Amino acid sequence: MRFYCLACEIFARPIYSAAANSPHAIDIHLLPLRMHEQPGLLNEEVLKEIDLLEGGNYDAILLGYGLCGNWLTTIKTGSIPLVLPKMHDCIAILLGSNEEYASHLADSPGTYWYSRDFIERGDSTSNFAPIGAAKNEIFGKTYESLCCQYGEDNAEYLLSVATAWERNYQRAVWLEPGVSGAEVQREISEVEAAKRKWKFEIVAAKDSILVSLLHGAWLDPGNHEFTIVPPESSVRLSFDNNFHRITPPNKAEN
Amino acid sequence: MEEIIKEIYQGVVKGNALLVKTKIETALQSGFDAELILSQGLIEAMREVGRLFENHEYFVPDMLISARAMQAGVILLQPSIVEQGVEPTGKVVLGTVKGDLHNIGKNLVKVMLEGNGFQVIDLGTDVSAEKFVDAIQEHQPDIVGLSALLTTTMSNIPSIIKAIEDAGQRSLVKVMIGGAPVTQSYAEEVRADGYAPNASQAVTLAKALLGK
Repeated sequence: MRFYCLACEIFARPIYSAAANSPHAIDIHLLPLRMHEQPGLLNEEVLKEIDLLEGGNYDAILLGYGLCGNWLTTIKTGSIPLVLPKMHDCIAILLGSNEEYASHLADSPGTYWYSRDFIERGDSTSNFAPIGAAKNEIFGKTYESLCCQYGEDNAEYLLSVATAWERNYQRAVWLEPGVSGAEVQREISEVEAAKRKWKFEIVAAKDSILVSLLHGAWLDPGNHEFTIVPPESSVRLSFDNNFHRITPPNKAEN
Repeated sequence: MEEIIKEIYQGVVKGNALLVKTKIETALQSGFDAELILSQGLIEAMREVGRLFENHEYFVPDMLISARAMQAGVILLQPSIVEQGVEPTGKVVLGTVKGDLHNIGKNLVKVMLEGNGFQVIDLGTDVSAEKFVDAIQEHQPDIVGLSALLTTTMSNIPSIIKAIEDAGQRSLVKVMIGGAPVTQSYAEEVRADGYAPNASQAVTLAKALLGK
């Protein structure tokens, strides 16, 4: 079969690897990191891709995204079905399990996660920042530019707001990939953790969800890890363990 | 509007905390009424800041520095306000739900509410249902605001609402919710009283919930 995979850059290496070993032919398009932080933007991009692919020779569009906050306001499929993992976000996907993610959150909610693609493809390591509406605007500017725009007094205040999040975190986790070659990124994450005085831990990353996605495990009628959105349907976030709510063709959404 | 009140107003809109403090000191020494300074110089200014944000002319940093300027002014006016018995617009208990440490959005809601005359009790982050119930008992707020930024933690919102119900407090408070994964549909599903997508609209919602 032939699939088109649209995914976040955070999954670049495992997705390329899974595609190379898949029994299916797969085309891949990666979208930039952190698009979920701009409300509506990711949803728009996915809709655009679905439109562009319409009429194309694909058996399914595979989405390499979790719920990731609330990017999925409404997605409508054309003639090609859509496959989405029933996962909360990239960390759950890289851990291979929502349950393991929940366990980490319960034990240590103040955990900051690092992975190879996150470091390789992200901003400079000095610019890591939390999720939040204020992040891009404050971290997007240097201290000097904040001074120019708001004056030194306000610049100091804005930086204190922007860096306050670090005090809420106590632990850094490096997601160790199953292949070698990530030593540089691991070291960067360890240095970052030391700089912020966080406890540093290594947890094995798993590519099981991404392999299942790209190898077509969801074709199995017993699959429960993925939502398959039929053609001419719409899907949005569901607020329960189903993760996604599908509205079939010719039915009004509720 | 008196010139000095206009200057205080502009100081808040422009985020100039030092100017606001200086002008308020002068205004108080000149015999201006604290409530007048608060309502026309500070609260009206924050209303304008909210409008500029909704129009995409102001962004989060602009709101933060304006709110900071306003807070600087409120601190100076506080003794006079207490003496005059000026009532706050309402009382709000705010917190980010259990398991969630994100607070920038919640903090912005706090400063915007305070900037609009609300008294805010901020419970911080990672707040359990029990702590919300205790806070309602202690502070008797008009509104409880719940924030969640992860789909994994937003499921704590209905648990907290249920805890408030089980404690017999649900009819005593309005519940408003917000945060990245939260939506109007979700608010209706969990039977919250309202949802706000940003700090500026949280103020509008809070006032509406109190019929103001």
